Amino acid sequence: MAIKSLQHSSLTDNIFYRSMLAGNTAYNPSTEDILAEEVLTGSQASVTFSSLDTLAAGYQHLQIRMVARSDDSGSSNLRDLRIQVNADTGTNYSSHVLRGDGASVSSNAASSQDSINTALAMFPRPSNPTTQYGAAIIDVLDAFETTKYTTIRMLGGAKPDGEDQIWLGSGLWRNTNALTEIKIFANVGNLTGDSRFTLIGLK
Amino acid sequence: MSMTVIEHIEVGSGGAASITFSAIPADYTDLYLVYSLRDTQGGYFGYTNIELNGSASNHTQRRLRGNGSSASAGTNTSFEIAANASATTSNTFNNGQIYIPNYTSASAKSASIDFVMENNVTEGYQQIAAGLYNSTSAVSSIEIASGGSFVEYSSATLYGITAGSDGTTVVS
Repeated sequence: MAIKSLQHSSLTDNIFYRSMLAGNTAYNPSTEDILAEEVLTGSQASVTFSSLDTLAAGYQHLQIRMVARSDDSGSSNLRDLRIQVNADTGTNYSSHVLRGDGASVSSNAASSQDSINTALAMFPRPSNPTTQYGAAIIDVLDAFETTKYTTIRMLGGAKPDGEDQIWLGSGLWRNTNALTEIKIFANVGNLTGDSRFTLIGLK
Repeated sequence: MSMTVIEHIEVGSGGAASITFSAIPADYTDLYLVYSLRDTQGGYFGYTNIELNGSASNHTQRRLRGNGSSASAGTNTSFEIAANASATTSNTFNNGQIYIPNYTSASAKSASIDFVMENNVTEGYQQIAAGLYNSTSAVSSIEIASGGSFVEYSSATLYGITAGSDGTTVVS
């Protein structure tokens, strides 16, 4: 949140102001605020935004913006983005994805999973150039309503050499509890250093 | 850039055929609308249209759509999206957005539209579309019109986006 200070007042300027603003710029509380940000200094298994009930109190929607890659080198495939919420490891998730690779498009689904995990092919891996990360924006609407299951919308892409991917994905958590925690991880391997995750609140 | 909530609407008990934002002020640079919708239509795909300025005319979109097993491209003479219809997993609402740059422009307006419609079976929808509102009128109202009736707790939030000026960025 921006730091605001008074640049003008009758005391300092010795001027009689008719406006309460006294020449200062009007302060409008922001609708969109960065609530937390994590930039990894080394590999770690996951990133978790917790205590959302207090951290994001007063916000209607949440958004996570991220760039990340995986340190796993065990396969020729890209690594997948996975999400769990409220530390729920039960089979209470489903997900769908629409994906293009520059030549063709496809769609697939996964039901009753232990995380949101529709092979989103989000994360480059060590055999890809080290400067290449996957990027995504994740939107959670009505994150704290207790009248609906949580539906997550994700738009992302990765462009490691020869494995280009752009995708629009969704995830469902079948529970009406308000969100208190979001955990992001790769299906295999750790998230590498310099991966960045930013949590934003929207009023 | 700054973002301002213009209005948040939640459907009350009894449902509603549509959600309408009217008398939208011309004070911003762009408009951004997010929606979380479920309706009473049968099946999975709850046909829903986003209509600008109170009319279904002058809207077209080109879309890419996935249904959980295949993908397709198509066109519509509307800004067609899908709410979760009654046969989808209970308590599940869609998640989508429409972004309208330069909504007060005297030229035709482009729009970026996408939504996802989750379901705990294979059939669920994801769609991304480029929309065109071929009108010289400023956008002063947005109606989200259900093919049936939106159920209680469906919601939509309209934001106004104001372009910033940092004093250093050069646009040429």
